[in-house]
Amino acid sequence: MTTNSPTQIVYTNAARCRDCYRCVRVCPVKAIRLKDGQAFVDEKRCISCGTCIRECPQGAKTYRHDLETAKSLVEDYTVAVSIAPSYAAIFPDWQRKRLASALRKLGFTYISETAVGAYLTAKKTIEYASSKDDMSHICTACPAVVNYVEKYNDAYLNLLVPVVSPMMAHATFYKEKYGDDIKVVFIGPCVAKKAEAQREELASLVDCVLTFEELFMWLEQAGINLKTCEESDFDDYPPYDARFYPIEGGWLKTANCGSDRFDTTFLCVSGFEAVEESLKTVAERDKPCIVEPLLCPHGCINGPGIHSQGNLFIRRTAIIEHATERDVQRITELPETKSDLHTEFTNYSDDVLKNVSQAQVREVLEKTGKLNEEDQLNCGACGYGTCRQQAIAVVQGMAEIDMCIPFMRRLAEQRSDRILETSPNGMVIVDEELRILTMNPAFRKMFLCSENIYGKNISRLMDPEHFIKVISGKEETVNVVVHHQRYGLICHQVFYMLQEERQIVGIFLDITRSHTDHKRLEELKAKTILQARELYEHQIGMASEFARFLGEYTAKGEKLIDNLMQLNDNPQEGVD
Amino acid sequence: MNKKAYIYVDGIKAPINGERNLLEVIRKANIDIPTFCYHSELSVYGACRMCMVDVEGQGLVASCSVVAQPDMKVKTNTAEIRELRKIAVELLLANHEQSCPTCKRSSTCKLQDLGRRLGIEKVRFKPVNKQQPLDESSNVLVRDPNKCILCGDCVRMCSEVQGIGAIDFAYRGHDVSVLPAFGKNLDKVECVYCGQCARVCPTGALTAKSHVSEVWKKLDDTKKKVIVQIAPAVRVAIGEMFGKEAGTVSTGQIVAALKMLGFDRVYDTCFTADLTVIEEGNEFIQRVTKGGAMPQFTSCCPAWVKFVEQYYPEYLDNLSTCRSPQQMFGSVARKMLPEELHVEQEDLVVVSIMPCTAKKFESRRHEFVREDIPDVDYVLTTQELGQMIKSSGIKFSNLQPESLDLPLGFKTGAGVIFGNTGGVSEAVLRFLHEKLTGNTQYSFEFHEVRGTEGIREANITIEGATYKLAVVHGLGNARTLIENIKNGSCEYDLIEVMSCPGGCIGGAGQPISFDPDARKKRTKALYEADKMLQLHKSQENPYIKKCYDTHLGEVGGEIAHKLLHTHYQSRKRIHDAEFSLMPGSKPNKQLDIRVCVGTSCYLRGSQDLLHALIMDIQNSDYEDRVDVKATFCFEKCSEGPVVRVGEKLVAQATVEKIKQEIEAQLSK
Repeated sequence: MTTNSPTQIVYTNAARCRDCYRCVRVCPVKAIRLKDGQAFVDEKRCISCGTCIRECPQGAKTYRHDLETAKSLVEDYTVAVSIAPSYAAIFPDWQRKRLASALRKLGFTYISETAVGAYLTAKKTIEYASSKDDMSHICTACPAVVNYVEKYNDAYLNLLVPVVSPMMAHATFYKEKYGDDIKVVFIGPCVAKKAEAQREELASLVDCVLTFEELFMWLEQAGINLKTCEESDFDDYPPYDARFYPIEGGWLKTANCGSDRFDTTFLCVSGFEAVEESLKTVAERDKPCIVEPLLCPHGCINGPGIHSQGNLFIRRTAIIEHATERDVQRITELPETKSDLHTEFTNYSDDVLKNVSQAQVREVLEKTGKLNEEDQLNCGACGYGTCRQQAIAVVQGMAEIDMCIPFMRRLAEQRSDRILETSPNGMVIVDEELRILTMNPAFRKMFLCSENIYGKNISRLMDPEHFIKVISGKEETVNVVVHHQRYGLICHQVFYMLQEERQIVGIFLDITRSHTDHKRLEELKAKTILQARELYEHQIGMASEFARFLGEYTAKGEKLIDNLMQLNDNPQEGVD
Repeated sequence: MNKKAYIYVDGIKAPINGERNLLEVIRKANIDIPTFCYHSELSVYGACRMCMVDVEGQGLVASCSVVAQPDMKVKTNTAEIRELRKIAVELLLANHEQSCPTCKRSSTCKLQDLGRRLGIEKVRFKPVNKQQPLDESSNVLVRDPNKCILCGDCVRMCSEVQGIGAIDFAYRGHDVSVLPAFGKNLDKVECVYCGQCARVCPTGALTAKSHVSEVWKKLDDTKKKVIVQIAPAVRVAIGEMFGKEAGTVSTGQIVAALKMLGFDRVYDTCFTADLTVIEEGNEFIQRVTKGGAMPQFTSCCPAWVKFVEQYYPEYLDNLSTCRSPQQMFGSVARKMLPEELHVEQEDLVVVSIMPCTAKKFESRRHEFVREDIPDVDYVLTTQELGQMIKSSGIKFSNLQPESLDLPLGFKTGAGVIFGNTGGVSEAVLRFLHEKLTGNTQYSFEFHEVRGTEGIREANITIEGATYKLAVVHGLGNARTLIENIKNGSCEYDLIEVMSCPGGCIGGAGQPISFDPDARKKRTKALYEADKMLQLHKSQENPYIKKCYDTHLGEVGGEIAHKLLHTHYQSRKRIHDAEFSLMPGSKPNKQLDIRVCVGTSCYLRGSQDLLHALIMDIQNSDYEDRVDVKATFCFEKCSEGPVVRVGEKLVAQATVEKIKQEIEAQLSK
């Protein structure tokens, strides 16, 4: 895992990242930086929406877990917990009734739904919007949308309603009610809320943000089973309509602006494409309108902090049922706050949108052979929408050239073709019926044939026995040396089966020349030995001649000396 | 420095850590020495001989009666010991009525368990005892002498822990048996029905009387609406009957099970516990500010109430007049529900699930029966509910929790901790603190009154005034405390008494547990349940507020008094010694007249008065409507002769005075 800055929310577990570009494709703001084939999240560009977490097939995208922070908070302080109303989408009715008990067992002192804050936010939002009814407004409950506008669409900054989110409003409410020294933990489906809690202008309102997934982990670690918890109530109850907040149109309902989705004053949208489109609409329309954008498709009930595969429409139904069940209504008074719930937004677009020169882009396009417009396939396989966008990302250091799949494929194909074309070895492929499917130039040259032979039986060129051996499965590969007298060829041949295609590959290595050379050497060797033997015999003969000669002469010499000695012993007779 | 001491159990080193006897040391070394008569909370008796072990140099000894000495070498499993235990159990079995399949204690019977553990497959001895009759006289406990193994656990529990001694060994040798005094029935003696004897009985010789079949009948009757209340202590114990650990909170599953069994509404006794806190707290403030008998005693525990009535009638005024939560529930239910559930009073059946046996007695007290309809019709123990669930085949552990019905099912944590010793005090303190200071922001936990000590004291200062509290569990401890108050050696403002060790969580209606920590776990679970609830103070219960608004009027007001308060009777004298004197007397007369013929009244002419009165009545036109009986003592001996007309006591009675009173009452 790479080291992350402590403020980074979404990041990659590098050990799991497998080079698939899915995150690049789904990231609405392309905040994924590719490095050596692995996809990392660029904190500056990331809007913490968590889409990549939901989408990554390898589970390689994760978010910063804050469970330990929460645990130490409940140990040391009085802690209030704000539960996002989307909890109704995850917990069935009987569990909802026991959740408050479980949370108290975990150590929380005050418990209520974020919908309390939603009510306050909605009220302030509608106040603000109606005081400026000559312009359009964007509601700001979704922190990912706020991040998006601040980082990528500064043109809309002034349209964001400067009212804090329900989470922050709830925290404000809590601190007014129970004192500034209490701590607030938010538990919800959202990852971007973790980033929101870090915003400087709202610092220390919310001390920790957990996802529902983290809550489940905590309950399990603490051994808390909802079945054995007493049924109990939350400490404050929201006006029920505020419980609609986590689904499309929820704000509208909470703010009591009616639920007519066909009223053209309101645009309730979810999912990035729809959000983007709706923002454009605001700019283009003459009539002012109010947009309620939620970045996750279907709203907060589909947040990345919900670790469940449940059907979204069933979740939505659960939210509506929860919001409309009134038999346990125990609201004594509507929540109120002295705070104006005002907030500010900052333009971060300069940090993110770096200018890129045309020349640089051209250079990248050229490298990938896509300079011509018709070569720009815009297939999106790299994750970017167009080849141009990808080229820009490359220039910005976000993407790598080799992410372009068509480019890499062409490159790969070219190489393998070259090998076949230039190989000195003959190669042929036949099918199960021994019909020739393809061959390379070397084969054609060796066996004196042309492309006309395609489709004909291999037996026209050679004895097919080795091919048959492979087909019959008797041997996996056949490795032989064959003398093709017809072609004056001696070949080292390898045959094997392409199992999937049921085709047989034959590779022919011409060893005719080396074969001939070897023969000559053998002959020379034989001759040499013959002559060596002659020489040897000759020498042996000579040696024995010498020996005989030497013996005779020695014996003769001995006789003469003997005679000489006898002459000395008899002098009278010495004169012959 | 002390050197650590060890013994050797079957060659294995086991440390001595101040255990009271060898038996405890061996058990901690993971050898479960069998016993019948040994209970860690009772004195050592040494009668059952099951705990025999072989100590080197001493031979066979009863390990319960020997203190572990350093370096003792103990054998627990020799041929001799095995044979000894086997013979002992066989002899017990020979005289034991072996109706195991139909015995309530089947599967929780220690005799059965040991027979099986020791591998006894045949009893070689013939029974010698004659079949004796059952004592089913009380509505609470059943005594079956044929199942008694004479371990004496019940006897010691009753006298040592509860300080009563309603039962004891009688006769000698072969005839020895455990009996109430003079062989009387249980309902005629001082038994307070706490049932602790049945809790410690290893067999089925003492059991709680079951009312399950009556309840089934009502459930089957479609005309009846059967509603039920669950006491706080039940929820942390019933799981034990279904394989859960003690202290597992199963409220939601109990509700689900009760609904499946056919109960129409399921409510929580904690609701009326909250109500009790408010009434009792208010009563306390009244006593402190306006004067009244101090200290105030709690009155939630029916065994304790009977105990005071029997032994300390002079303190009856000290008992809070508040009904117990069970009975408050009964009267509130009878007041509210017929209208709400559209049902006639006689078709509303009120059942309670209690950890307690004495609650069965309480529900039948005449103060709580109006026009032949008891406020609470049937009391089932936790065990009985478990049995009903089992008999219906419901898989309790798999049930998805369900919700208690409103409004009588809504409670605060104060109501929940009622099940623990100290719980009532703490709940009342939470009320008093706020009431006396007006401050709502304070920690709701009063750890001063929590704990396991038999008598605990706490001084709580509120607004400069210090209140002295005593929290007691076990009636033996209560006796000690009252004696101390009597002799002036201590003084209190508020005294909480629970008869059962640990409070209601240790009640005799709870599942039989062999887990020595079961009580501790149940206690902890109740305190945790309190913590986990939203509200912790009875006065915050929104439905209680509403209940006062719609049905009860003022706190401590007239309606509240009628429905939520009660009075007590002295039981110092034998209350059943009455002699009917009207010849041909018909039952169910309108007015009862009781004339004391005790010594003091006799000397003051009560005999003559009685004669004259009978003659007079026989000649009157209300002869058929009054009933005259002779009785003993109304505790007003100096003002004799004393006569009770209806509920009213007439001192220095004359025929005229009584005639006047009769006419006055009859004309009402």
